[in-house]
Amino acid sequence: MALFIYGTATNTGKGFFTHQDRQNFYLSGHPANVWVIGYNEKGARWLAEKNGVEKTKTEAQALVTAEVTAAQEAWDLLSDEQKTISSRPTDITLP
Amino acid sequence: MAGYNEIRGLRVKYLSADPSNAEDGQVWYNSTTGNLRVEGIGVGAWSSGSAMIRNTSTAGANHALGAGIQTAAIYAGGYSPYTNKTEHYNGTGWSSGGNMNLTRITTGFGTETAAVAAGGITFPGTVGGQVEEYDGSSWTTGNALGTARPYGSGSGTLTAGLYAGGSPNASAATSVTNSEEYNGTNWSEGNDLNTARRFLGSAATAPQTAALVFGGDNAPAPGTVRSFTETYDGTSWTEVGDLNTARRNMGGAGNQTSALAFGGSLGPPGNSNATENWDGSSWSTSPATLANARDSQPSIGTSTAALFVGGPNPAFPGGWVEEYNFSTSTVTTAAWASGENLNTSRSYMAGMGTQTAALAAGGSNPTPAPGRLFTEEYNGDSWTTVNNLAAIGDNWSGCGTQTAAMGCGGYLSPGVSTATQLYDGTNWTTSGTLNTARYNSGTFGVQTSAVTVGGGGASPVGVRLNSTEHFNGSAWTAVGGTLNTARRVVNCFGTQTAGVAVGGNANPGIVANVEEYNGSSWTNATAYPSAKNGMGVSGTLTAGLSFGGSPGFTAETFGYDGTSWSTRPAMATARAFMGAANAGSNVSTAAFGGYTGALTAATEEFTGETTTVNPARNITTS
Repeated sequence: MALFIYGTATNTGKGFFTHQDRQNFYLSGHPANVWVIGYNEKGARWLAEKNGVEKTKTEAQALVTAEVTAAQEAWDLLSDEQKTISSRPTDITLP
Repeated sequence: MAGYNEIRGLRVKYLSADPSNAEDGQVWYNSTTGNLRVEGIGVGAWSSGSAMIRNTSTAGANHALGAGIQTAAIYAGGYSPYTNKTEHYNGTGWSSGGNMNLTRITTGFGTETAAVAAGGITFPGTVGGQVEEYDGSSWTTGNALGTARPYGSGSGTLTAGLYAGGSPNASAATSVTNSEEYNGTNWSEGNDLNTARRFLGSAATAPQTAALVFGGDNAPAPGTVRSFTETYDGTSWTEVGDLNTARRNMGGAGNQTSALAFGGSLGPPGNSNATENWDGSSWSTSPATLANARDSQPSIGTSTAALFVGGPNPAFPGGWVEEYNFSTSTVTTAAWASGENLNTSRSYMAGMGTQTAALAAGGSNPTPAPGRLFTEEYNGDSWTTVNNLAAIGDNWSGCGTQTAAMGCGGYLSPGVSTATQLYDGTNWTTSGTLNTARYNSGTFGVQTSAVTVGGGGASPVGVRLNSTEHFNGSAWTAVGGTLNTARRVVNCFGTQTAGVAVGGNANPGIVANVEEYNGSSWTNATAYPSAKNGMGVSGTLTAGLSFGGSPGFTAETFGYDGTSWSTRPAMATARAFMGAANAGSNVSTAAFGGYTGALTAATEEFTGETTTVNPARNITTS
């Protein structure tokens, strides 16, 4: 049985996910507008209502990895002094 | 039979509208709607709770010991993978307890501070009868069960306990009828259950002499789920009314006269989300259902305040926790919800104010960029870009309110700043110079009585500082108190005389150290649950909140009561180096912007647990 639904949806701000949504299903947001949603009816309905696009886990992971890789490459180009004030973005593995 | 007027001392009133100040249990007739109405009928319902500290990918949340009540419980051991971790629940969040001596699956009985883990399976899969006792902080080895076995049910207390059923080789085919009594030192064989079973549920708070067990499975393999219920009077077992839904591995709560059974496995295949109420003679199905159907939960709590913990399906990070409450009020548990997005994505900004009157000042977007001067105000619904900073504010920190804020230090690329800027709700002005140039220090208090501590220094850039300075609204004074652990990207909350510094980037790495400030000196306090920097913080020394952070990116949220840290519901978006409404409280704050692996503009708002009285309801004949 699937544990999560994977998808992309643009965070439109206030009301995008509500207090009640957080009670109803697991939800975690990631770079590239990727969302991991608990696999239940309310979670699936939420993604549909947000005009989200369901992805496979592999597809979702690829989107996140591409964005993080770009951020890592940008960080690598910083001066040594600038690197002392920030942390290199770390890889993200979706649950 | 006593009438209503004898019970309540009142007559049923004939009213044209519902009364505005009805008391619990008051009954009246609403002549406008034609309904007989009552105030405060109790309703049972499940609501989500704070996740555990454990990462269930490295420390499982199935087949663990649960003991205690909803506001004082423990959850210990578990599978898969096997773990020896213990966590305490205080009704709001989880904190770490002492590790078990064995890494194991187990069940048992008792309370938060006097629990017994009896039998089980130890890593890497050995069936045993080992016993451990818990005193609230550490586990000690006790005498083993007479018959080594996992998957029995526990009832009673540390000095008068009961362990019934189970299976000596963990298979349904070998489930047993044995029950054993514990006196705090030794086990003695009691009379047998009427039906051999494993994976039984039990009424969590029932004593040894009035126990209740239900459900489970037995042969043929892989196990036929059962609905049998039995009571124990201290001497013998008696079959009583069956569960409506046969299941195994369910949770249980209550005692022999008032109990709950919830969740569990129906087979295979499938799990149950159903709750059943036991009234001392029969089970009835409750309208209250778990949010997700799951099994493998222990028995914790009473029939009016129970706790569901863990369960493998689905395997949510941190486990899944739900609270059952039967009350005339509805409990809405704490949660983070989305707020409006910042107009400009950025990190390493100074965040001030409250959830409904916040301020985001400066920051990196990316470094260097115009965002280093931007200021935005939040009113709880939208962000508005207002007048720029008077000078660059990047990798800096601040405190205060939306109409009286201050920020200090920062990284100027190149160089480290001593500047201080004040905001009056309209304009930023420079005022005062830090004695020591620093960036990513921890700043807390209010505009006219602030503290900044630690941070990265200027020579060489990034050197970890431990010094403290006080601000009086116009000038800084270097004071004697120094952090015991020098660090930058340290997060602070509280007041000039009661502050807290959490985590940070020390030498040689990120730390979990927490220190408390009394206005003149720093004292080491209970460490953060894991090494982190770049969190958002708000609240006071005795009621604080910390969320997110790095390394990696986490959505974890923890509360601080001046003594210990315990979990709160996580943010949706894991992030670090964000802005926070740091004049908010431990029940109302906001996180905005930051870094998620990429810059984000997202805002989340935290609202603590609330309780509202149930509305009046009609009385019907059904």
